[in-house]
Amino acid sequence: MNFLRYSSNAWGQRVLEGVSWDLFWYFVGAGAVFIVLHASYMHFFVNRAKQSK
Amino acid sequence: MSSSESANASSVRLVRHGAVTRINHWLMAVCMIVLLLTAFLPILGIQFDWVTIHWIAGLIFFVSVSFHTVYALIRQDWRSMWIALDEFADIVSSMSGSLNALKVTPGKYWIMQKIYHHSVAFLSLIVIITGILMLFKIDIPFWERNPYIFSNATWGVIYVLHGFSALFFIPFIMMHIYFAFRPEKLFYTRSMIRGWITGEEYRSHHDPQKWVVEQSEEEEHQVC
Repeated sequence: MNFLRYSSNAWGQRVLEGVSWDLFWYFVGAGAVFIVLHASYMHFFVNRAKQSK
Repeated sequence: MSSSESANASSVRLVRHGAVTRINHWLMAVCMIVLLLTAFLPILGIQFDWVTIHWIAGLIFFVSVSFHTVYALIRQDWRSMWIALDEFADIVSSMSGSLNALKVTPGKYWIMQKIYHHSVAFLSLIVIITGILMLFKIDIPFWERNPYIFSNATWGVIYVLHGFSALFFIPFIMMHIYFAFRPEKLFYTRSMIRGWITGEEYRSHHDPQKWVVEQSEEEEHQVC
């Protein structure tokens, strides 16, 4: 997995272009994982604990 | 609390966000959605003339963030966003949304709300500064393009900072929308639409000594 994008200029030198867009889905996934973990935590621990009181 | 006090607490409306704050918040939200869509849809293969929409939304976002910063410093209590060191003890327990799970009672904002705000503020600062610099690469009504003000290497760093910040915005916005729809947080969302929370919500989620609120004008009229 590449974190950055590079290209070559007219002199054949490597030029930094920006961040790799391959990372897009990793960031979407990170958000989704957080949401699933938090929703699970709230459902299985917090809300059930409140109901059992 | 007696039953009459309880009924009063649920009917009383207390101002959490004034009209100016709410309008500016939703302006920022629209800008952010437009910015993310115009940034990432072309990358996902949906091609359209995104550049003009993107930089105009970016400029409006910049004005909105600047206004918010000045307004918060002059007209609001900026200390409500200050994080005290002892609040970090509540980072995990604050996610449950239970006041009795906390070691430090919250004022207007909970510790995670403050951390979220500061994280987004930091990301916004980066995308705004780098975004304005990137405007020098295109023709806009304010100036003609001049891509030679920086070397290729410097432009690369600017693009990397802008891109990484934009990517970090994705999970942050997802989390923000998720929490806005969570049942126990819906009253915060309502307060960002209509401005108020009830006295009951206030007492069950905030320390009245740390967040002193006024009764909403609408409610005062009703009481009168």
